[in-house]
Amino acid sequence: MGVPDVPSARIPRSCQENYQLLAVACRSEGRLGLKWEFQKTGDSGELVLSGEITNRSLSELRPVLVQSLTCVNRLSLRLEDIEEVDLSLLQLLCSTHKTASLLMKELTLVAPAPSITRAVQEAGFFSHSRCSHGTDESCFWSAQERGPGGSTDSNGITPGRPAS
Amino acid sequence: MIDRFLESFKEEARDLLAELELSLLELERFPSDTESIGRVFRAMHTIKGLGASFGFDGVSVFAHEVETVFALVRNGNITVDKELIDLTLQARDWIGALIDGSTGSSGEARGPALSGAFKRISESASGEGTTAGRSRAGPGGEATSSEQIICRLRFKPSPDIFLAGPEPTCLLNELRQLGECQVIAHLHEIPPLESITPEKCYIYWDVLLTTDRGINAVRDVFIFVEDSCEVTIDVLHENDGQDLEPGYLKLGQILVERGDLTPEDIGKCLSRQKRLGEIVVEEGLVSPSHVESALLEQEVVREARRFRQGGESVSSLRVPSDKLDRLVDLVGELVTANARLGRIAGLCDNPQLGPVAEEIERLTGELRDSTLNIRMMPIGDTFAKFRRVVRDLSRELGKDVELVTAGEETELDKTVIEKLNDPLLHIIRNSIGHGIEQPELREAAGKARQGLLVFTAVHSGDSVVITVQDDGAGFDGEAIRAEAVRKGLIESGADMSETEIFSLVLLPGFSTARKVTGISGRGVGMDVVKRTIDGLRGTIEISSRRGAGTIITIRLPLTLAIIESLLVKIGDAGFVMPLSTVEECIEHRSRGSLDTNLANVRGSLVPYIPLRERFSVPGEPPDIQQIVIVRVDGNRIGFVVDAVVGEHQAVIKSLGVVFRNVTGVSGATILGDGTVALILDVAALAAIEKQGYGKSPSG
Repeated sequence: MGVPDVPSARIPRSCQENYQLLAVACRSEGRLGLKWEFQKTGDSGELVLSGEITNRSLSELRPVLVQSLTCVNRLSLRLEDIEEVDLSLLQLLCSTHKTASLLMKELTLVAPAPSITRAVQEAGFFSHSRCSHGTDESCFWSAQERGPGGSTDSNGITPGRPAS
Repeated sequence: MIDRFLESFKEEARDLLAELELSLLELERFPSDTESIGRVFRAMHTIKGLGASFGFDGVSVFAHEVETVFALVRNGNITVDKELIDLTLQARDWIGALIDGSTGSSGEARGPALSGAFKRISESASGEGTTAGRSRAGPGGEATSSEQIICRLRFKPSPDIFLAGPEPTCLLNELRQLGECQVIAHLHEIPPLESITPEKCYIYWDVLLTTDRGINAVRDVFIFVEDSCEVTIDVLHENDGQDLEPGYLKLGQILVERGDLTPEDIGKCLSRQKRLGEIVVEEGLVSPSHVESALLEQEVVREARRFRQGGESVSSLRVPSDKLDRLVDLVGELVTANARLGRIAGLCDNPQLGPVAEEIERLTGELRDSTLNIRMMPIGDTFAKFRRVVRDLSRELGKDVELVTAGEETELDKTVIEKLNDPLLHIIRNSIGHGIEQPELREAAGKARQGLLVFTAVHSGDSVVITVQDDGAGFDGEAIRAEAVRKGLIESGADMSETEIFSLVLLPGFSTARKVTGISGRGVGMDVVKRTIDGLRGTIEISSRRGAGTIITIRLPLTLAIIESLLVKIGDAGFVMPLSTVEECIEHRSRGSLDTNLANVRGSLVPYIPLRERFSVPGEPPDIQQIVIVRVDGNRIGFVVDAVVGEHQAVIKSLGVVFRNVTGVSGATILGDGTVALILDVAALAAIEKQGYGKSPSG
């Protein structure tokens, strides 16, 4: 499977540097307890995160998110067996969404656990109707609260605009 | 005067307790339902406030303990389990007993025991360290002031708070414990992945907090971070009313008031205009979240004002029910007088009187409908009461039963609803006691372990049909038949339909239960149910399938005060029948001694009862009589009368104690000419006829 057809002009420089690094499917276990697994099908990919996500392991997660987002047009994110979510992770996911929007890509959070939904609610992220980053899109988190009944896909969230 | 206030407090508290019970039962089904948790919390909070205002300090202090626990539940420090629901239901009952003064001698120990249990729960949850703010504000020791304030907070944590400070969400949760809290996170400063430092905090929050704990309690939340974080707290709205909007009208309002423009014109023009929020976001002056935060503030303040003003202007009124009954009586008199006026106007041929009589008839009709409507109540409140009964009873019997209800909004006259309580309770007890099997038996029979009890209510013409359906063992037709034979109620080998056999359980003293229990099986109950439903001019039907369950269908009139009826005459005497039962009227020519009391109606035979004979009305019937065909318990039956006069609004008058035992008539009504017409109980007349020919109605 070849590299995805993403217009390079839209990819920030740091992402372009990592562009060729990601294989079709790969997995890894970080030093700080974070595990991740990436699977790519066509121009879509799924990134599964598991293990312990702490403030410190976030620095390991950032490049993984960058690379995953770089090589697909539609990225599904699954947080597996992650019971505790702190604010810094939610912030990083929000940043990922912002990046996806800038790249005109679609980011989806797949079936988040109730603990994650609760953390999002407690952090006051659900109160937005529009994306805080000044895009015309609906808010990543509020789309999550609306669930499949809202303007969302079967996975519950359509935070990003599909690549056109 | 004091008594009146006290009574009003008690009524309000009882309403709150009913709502509390419902929310708790809902919470038991969906333990993480934040709305139910919020409702329980608010109910307790209101009860606490009400109790304190009316001198019920015991109620207030006790409700405070429960409220504290539910504040922790709301913030996720405690999870809801069956034990907590049990305990809170007991607390609800205890508060009810405190309010009614029925705590009894055992209450001395019960109250403190319950209070202690709640205290232990809240203390153990606080001990986990997640509720530091609460321990500062302190359950019991907190400075609750009656003055409610709305605070606008902006909390901008230091960028390194993730590494060297408390989790910001904990601080937000502490604020939530102080009152109603709206939190908006500002996320626009979060950079994209390429430039983000994940350990750095880019988020800040706007919070709108409505609290009665005072500004210092709010400041206390940030006591440990005030040096490193930016925290601004402004008080927006206090109950002193200083910040009320000035009373000027907007331009559009003035133009509409002057008649220069319609509200639709204004709406059209405004829809073309861009809102300020959209403009400032488009200009890039602020982020969308700032606008949303400001709009939320507007909403919270408006809501607070509405709530406060709502307290001053009365939106609903509590009226003693006897006053309403008196009003209905008077309207009944008016309907009767109006019928008389209509009749006189018809006879007089006065061109001026006719239109006035018609106008009064229209107004009387509207007044009648409005008045009866006041007494209409949704049946949902009755259904809601049974949730607790079902829950407690099924636990007592070791059964697992789910109650599903539908049509709660269906309205019935208050008097009908009040009388319906006991019959429905009997039916539930029977369904759970005899119908729904133990979980193991159900499993063995290939059913779900959990039994299902379904209550539905639906309007059907001028009646309401209530069904109670269970998926239990169903009636044993053979056992019922054998018992009826043993008791001498039917002949052995009598030819009876299934419905007729099931109806036997409605006879007095009938029970097939082998064991008498506190739940059911004493042979009293179903006959009481039948009698009560009959008294409400309703009908009851049972259908059942062995192994699959039972459906009990109760059909009730919407109101007991005024009915649409058909007026008929036998000689000079008038009789009325409920119009809802009447299907058609046909002509009848008497054939004297050859009469078989069967009419041929378009090829099918319909039995009929000659009412002149039944009521021993003297005189000869006309050559051509009328048969009014009605439907009773699914069967068509005719009543032979001299003439059909027409529709009549019958204001029901009871016959008084002397005629209490008269069967075949359910009351009387006054006609336009002032004469009295009896209201026929067609079901009873049909039953008498069925039991044996030749017997006249007992009386």
